[in-house]
Amino acid sequence: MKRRLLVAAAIGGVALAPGCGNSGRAGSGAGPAPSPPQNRFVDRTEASGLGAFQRVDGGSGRKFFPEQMGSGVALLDYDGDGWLDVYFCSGAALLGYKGPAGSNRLFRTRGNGTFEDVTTRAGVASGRYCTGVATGDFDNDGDVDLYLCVFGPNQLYRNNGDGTFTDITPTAGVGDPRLSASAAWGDYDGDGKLDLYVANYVKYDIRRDRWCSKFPGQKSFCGPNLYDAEEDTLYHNNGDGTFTDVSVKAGVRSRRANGLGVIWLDYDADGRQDLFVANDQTPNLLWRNNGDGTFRDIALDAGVAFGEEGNARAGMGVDAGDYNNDGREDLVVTNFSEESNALYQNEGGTFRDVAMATGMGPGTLMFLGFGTGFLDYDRDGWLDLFFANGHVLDDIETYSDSVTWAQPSQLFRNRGDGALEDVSASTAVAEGRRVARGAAFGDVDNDGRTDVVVSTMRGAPWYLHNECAPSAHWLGLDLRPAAGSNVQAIGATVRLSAGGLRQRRDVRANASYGSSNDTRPLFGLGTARRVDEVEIRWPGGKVTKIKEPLLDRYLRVEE
Amino acid sequence: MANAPRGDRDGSPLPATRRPPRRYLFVVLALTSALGAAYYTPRVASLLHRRHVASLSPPQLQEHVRKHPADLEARYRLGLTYGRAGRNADAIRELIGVLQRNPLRADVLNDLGALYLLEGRYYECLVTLEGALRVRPNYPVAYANLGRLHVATKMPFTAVRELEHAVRLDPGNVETLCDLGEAYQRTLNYSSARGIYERALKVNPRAVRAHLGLGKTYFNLTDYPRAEEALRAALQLAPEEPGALATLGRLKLENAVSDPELQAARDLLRRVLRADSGDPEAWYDLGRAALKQAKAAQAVEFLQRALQLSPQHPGAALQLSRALRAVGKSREADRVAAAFRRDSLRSREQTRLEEQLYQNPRDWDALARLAVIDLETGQYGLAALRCRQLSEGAPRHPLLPSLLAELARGTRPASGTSGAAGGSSPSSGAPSALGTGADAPAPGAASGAP
Repeated sequence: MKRRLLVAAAIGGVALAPGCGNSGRAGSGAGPAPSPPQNRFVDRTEASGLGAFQRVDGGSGRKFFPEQMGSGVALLDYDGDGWLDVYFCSGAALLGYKGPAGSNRLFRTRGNGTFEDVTTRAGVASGRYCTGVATGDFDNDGDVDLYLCVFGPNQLYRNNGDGTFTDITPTAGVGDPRLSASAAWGDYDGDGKLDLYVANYVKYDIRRDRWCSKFPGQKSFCGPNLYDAEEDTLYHNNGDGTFTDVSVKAGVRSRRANGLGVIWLDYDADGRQDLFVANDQTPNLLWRNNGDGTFRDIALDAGVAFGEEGNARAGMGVDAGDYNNDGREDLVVTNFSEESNALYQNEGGTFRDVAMATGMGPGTLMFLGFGTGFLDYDRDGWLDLFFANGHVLDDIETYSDSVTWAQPSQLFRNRGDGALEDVSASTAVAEGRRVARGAAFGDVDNDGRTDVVVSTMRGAPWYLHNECAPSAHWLGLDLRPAAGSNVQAIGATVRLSAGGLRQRRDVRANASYGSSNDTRPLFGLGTARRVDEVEIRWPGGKVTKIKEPLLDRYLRVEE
Repeated sequence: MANAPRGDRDGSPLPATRRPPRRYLFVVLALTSALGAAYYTPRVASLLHRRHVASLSPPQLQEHVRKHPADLEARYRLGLTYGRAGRNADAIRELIGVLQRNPLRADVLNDLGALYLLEGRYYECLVTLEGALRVRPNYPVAYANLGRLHVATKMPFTAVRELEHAVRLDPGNVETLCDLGEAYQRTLNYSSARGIYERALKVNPRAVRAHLGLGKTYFNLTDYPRAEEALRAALQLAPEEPGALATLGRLKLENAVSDPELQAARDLLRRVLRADSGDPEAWYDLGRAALKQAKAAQAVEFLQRALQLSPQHPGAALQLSRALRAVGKSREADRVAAAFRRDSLRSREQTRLEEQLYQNPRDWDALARLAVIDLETGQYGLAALRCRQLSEGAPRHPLLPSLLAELARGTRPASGTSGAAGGSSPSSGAPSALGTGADAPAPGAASGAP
């Protein structure tokens, strides 16, 4: 199915008064602006119809290990109509479960702020215990496919282009049987076809589930340390609908870890896609792409393997973005409560955790973060940070008076002066406590603002509609690479110069925790009224430059 | 008839028939006096003796004990004196000497337990404190020491239970309240910790340790303004208190965004080192500050000092590898990084085994492997505790003989330095209950011991 040209209406594009407190700080030298005066995100879960999804954890009180993992969520345009749809992963019945059957659900947007459930028609219910979803057009046919991390062999659903999907796992050869939470599509060898990395968690067999207890006779969820760490898997896309497991050859089997979050990025700007894996209580991995089909873990040398204190933290979710507009992608990793989330600032191939110095670190210490993403929620040209929080131990409150199971989500506003300010309360992000897991980011209503969909452990999701900064200008891009590249332009880098800032966005779908995002690069322009230049570095290496494009729209660009 | 017994009401002489014979009166008086003397004289004598012994200087006490080895009171006093001077091995010897002659002295058992705790001899500590509690079941100081032991042996939840019991028995003991605050922090109960420190400060508003604990609690709660306020209150009372300086220094370091702020953090850490140049944490934080200031060569120096003092310090090793790389010493950096990775793997295994053991205390393989790691990392106290548990629970475990042999080879003689035998001693420092028996010096006096 061919994508339609996206030319979104310029919502509020004529108003010039700035919103969200971004006045007068288009340049990096400007002082911090005042915080937004009022809440800007609106809970549209029920109004949109997404509240019809009820995630089940499949638990019966026996607290099997996978129950605590929760699952991810994806924002994808599965039918190519130019509007983002939503796919939710759900748990399913585990031993002894007696509740309603769990099922993944696909919600198609009607384009009017509401969604319809098309799961059955699309054939993507799965019915298996789903933990994560990675979207990617692996066969370059112009429609996005679904890879599901499930408890049991993972599944690949090929998009048939007619609103239906087919489970092609057996023929594709990507049914990794290990327990995984996240996977990511990326073209590591530059052959124009998306390869697949699966981050696996622990060696787990429900028949050998371990007993953990904080109180005599009462089971608690076990941590990953009680199980053996697992190996990750790298599948090479053969281009004919099949994949080859190249994990050993590529070198990624040289480490065993408790992988939960994974992201492709070109951290060293050598034009090749590298990989970062957030691991739970084992050192994070940074697989440097050697350019010859192999990878080497350089996380320790690069400064992202451990926390500052030398401890392997409980990494959960991850995202990459250039938060300080220095032209390099930085990394954010969510961690356990008592461990601050990490903000690894890229200093040209090595990283420095600046979480504490930015003020974000202290604010996240008491929370257990899962889903995360860089987003410019207030369109001021500086990437902000969102964290979906929720503890893994449902009995934590019986022995801690300071940490809770359900937790508020958090939003940190990038002031542009090196500080990240907690605006969770003023933006309504902190409203309500949830046991959140995955979080997906994308412009659901094509208004140039990034919305957020959060999945929770049990029950309804949370759809946060961004109603911030209606007057700030913006520019989105709909990239169409030339033949020979992956059709989603995964791996492309876009740089935009406006208002004295040079912003960077990289095209990727899979990040956060078991989740997938809108792939369209979206730039907030603050008070700038024109863009000087947009520079696109395509996955194949070619560069396209566009001078002074029209604003407040999604601009289609072909390689 | 002026001395004649009077009636109860009207003072009239008692009728002759009710008047006791005078000789009986003398007999009763004599018997009462004899009984009183029999009862009180040894106590008075003992009290006087204790006062005498307490007045002796250490050399006089030593001489006294040499001449009168059977004088248990003197030996006990000498043991306490040794303990306060940091001569723990000598102190332990004297207290054991007392107990050999009088094994039911709860105060001596408690103090011996405290000394074992200082020495990292956790198994002996446990047995001794349990002995003290058998002799005196509601002995608050022994419960408190038991709690301190379990903080040291990474069993904070057990420690909380014991310290809470100690507080119930002795609600006004500031030291125990502070220990409980620390245990609360280790179990993520920061609100309770805050409450207990505030309670300690009501008992004694000048309790430096309570101000410090409150500051650390606020620090952990990321309430930095209140943390600083509490730490400054501690420093007002004790301007060079190393713990308060170190925590304030770390607080400043974590929040520093400019060079002057980093310099301020460094100044505080320098003051810590003036008080105790052997504090690895202060050297480590100094190294981190130097790295943040892009003074990599200085960072190398500071971090190497930290590692000399604490060879298993994970943060120092990690930062040192970075600092070495920053000064161009890549090969050395690689070597440090490799060692760090090895230690990190071992640490992960240790955590995993501890979790296994927590879930199943009869997992003897995990226990044995933990003892091996303890020995590898010089934590002889913990290793000894685990070996004893293993020998009691699984005496035929295949690793036990080699563990015991290794333990015998590796255990250093008691050096007299606090916590020198390895293991994580309570961060609050020495157990403060040394010499808090019925007639022993007050806790405050003893807490300054080693």
